[in-house]
Amino acid sequence: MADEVKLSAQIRKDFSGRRLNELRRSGSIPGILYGPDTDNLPLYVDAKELRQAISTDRGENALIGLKIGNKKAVMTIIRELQFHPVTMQIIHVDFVQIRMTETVEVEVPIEVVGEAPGIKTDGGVLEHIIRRISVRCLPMDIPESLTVDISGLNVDDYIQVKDIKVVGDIEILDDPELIVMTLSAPTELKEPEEADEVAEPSIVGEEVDEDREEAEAAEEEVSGETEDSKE
Amino acid sequence: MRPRKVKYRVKHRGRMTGKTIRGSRVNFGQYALKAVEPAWITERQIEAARVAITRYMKRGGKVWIRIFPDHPVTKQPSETRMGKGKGSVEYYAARVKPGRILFELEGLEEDEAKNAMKRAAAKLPMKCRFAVRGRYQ
Repeated sequence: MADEVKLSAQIRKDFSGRRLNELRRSGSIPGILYGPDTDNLPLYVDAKELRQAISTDRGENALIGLKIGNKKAVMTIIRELQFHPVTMQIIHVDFVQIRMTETVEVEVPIEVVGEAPGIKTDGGVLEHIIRRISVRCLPMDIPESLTVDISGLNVDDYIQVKDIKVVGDIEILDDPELIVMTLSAPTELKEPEEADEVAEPSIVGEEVDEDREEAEAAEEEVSGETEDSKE
Repeated sequence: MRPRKVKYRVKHRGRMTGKTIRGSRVNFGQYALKAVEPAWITERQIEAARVAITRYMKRGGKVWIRIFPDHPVTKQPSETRMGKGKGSVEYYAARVKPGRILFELEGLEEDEAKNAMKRAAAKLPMKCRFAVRGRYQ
């Protein structure tokens, strides 16, 4: 059973970029709420409260009871977080309103358990191909993570989506044949190549011209030979 | 590291304004090195940073290089008079804007990854920051 996190929000009426930046500077994060029972509603939340809300065990999949002004709290989950590319601060948040009796599609992180002999003895590297699995379930059944047991994994072995075991009424939406993680051999140190050995890049058009010239030269040679043989 | 095939021998220098949008998230490994300032990174600097990381890791771990030097940089020969056309290509560089992920790492502890990235950052011509997947402020 998932606990609900409470978060208060205020309605946002000014949509200018300058106003949004002012909001961010004052410690708020602009966002939007949408869903089956609500119109699109621009709002803003306190940055500190939002960070606390998504720092629980369920992370970004936390059930959030969003209280807008004096209205009754709306049950939501976070659909998208946008980040500043340099500072990695949250700059925008999308809340989607959910119905507790209807299934939702969310992405759940993968948790690795066990110790692989391929890592311990052969020094292999566990390479994650995907780190989140798409699942469909009721909001109260959203798992914190899906566990993958890697004990028994040797170098060049892999784990597929179908190898992941889920408990309860949870449906995995990803392709069962999709590879989740592989245990690859360790990287070997390559010495830097000598500067003289680096080949100059060829130019696309010139390469074609050269090929054509070569072909023409070859044709001329062949025709010359045949004329000689006729004589 | 340089292109195998190019459409034109030389390019204009261009301007590097703004921040990177694509390539600003950690997509392959667990840890990464992120550029904080704009810079042109030469093929030699990328290779030096890569070697610094792999030497520190010894065996184990995996490295991804997220930038590629595709921009030709030309230079006029010394003691040449002005004119007579653009110089010949000296080297290739990657043009990096703030926020760009440069290298990614997997298979190391966070402290080790941080040290490896610190050594790589020392080979690069701009300020960099250590980044962790899914960690935000």
